[in-house]
Amino acid sequence: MTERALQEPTLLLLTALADAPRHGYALIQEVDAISGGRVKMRTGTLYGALDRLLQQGLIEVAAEEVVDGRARRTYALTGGGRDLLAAEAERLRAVAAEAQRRLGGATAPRGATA
Amino acid sequence: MSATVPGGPRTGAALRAVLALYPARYRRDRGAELAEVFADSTAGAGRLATAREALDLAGYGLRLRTGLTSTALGGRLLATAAPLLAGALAGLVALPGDTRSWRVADAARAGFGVPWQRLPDNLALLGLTVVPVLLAVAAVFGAWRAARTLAGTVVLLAAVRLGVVAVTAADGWLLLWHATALLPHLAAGALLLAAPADLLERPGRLLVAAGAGTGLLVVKAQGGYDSRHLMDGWTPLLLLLVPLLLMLCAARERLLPAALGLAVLPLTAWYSLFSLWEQVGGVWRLAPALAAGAGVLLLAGRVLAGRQEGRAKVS
Repeated sequence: MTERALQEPTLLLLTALADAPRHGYALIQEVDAISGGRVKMRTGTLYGALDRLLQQGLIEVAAEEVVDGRARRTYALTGGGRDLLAAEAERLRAVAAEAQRRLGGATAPRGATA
Repeated sequence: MSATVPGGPRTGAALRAVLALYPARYRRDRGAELAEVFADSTAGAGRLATAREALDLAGYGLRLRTGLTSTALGGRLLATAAPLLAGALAGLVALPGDTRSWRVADAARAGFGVPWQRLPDNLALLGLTVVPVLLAVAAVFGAWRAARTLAGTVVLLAAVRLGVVAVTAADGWLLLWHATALLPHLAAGALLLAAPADLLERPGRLLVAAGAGTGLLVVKAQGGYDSRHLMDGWTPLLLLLVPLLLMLCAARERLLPAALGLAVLPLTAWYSLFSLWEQVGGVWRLAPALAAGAGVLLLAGRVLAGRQEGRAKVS
């Protein structure tokens, strides 16, 4: 279990890498899609976060290749990154479930008295 | 990927200039990759969006160059110091009985009813009374985006007042005297802005309160930046050396005392240097002592960092 909640950009990046390794621009697109267009990660911010996650051992460089004459490096979750993301997802799920339960409990009496 | 040509010659030149800000080794390793992602991100984007992207890219390059990324010691130290700096800025506020409070009261009474030449200074003075308090409140609640915006405002307001003083001061001595009261805002605000945003996430109630208390005490010790209370004897030296010595703790990874030193230094450095300059009687007499002091501190920092590295290797 994580001791403190992950910051949103970190959570979004780890989530974007959860199903497949991805390169820089694909990560920007995935973060945009996962957040419903709310978080638009810029290049400098992306590489700041990637460098930090690499140093923390949460992600790794999965491949370095040249595609159509263009440098491309793909990143992937490490075991530690996968565990951290799973723990954070569980924490969020528990909070969401509790919120749903309480909301459900709160609407019944209101409906009953109306 | 959606684009293969990095946005034409103008964007290409801008990109090269931005990448030049990166350390050479990083640029060799990641430059082509950064350029590709930048090209894809800005493909079909307007000038404003491209400029924002370039600024963001430049910002990370400067952070790498200055060691202020969220993984570097400097960045982590600044992030630890951020709530203390927010409090210290609030501690700079003029309290009743302080000569600065009379000027604030005058400016508040006058409002917009002053000649236009005095209006920017009056408004900036009132802003510097209110904005640091709002900044501290934002930091208390962990609203760091707002706190950083307010820190930018503090820097801007202090720069306006410094600009006005530079134009209107009758002589160099008066300019320096005013600067001792304005540079603390400018430096503390700039340090807060330089802290890595991704490390600023939690409310910092205790540290903000500690920073505010320390700020008030330090300003009181300095006589409220009032030349009639110019510090004599060892006080200016102590107020300069103690924060610097505390900052040496960073070399041993003790970030909290080092952060306290970093938060206090912008408040004391200028007034202490001004007072020492007055005591020793000129820049040229003060310069050798300052150079020697800086050398000793740098050496001490390197020795401490070397020992820490040695211990880390052994363990």
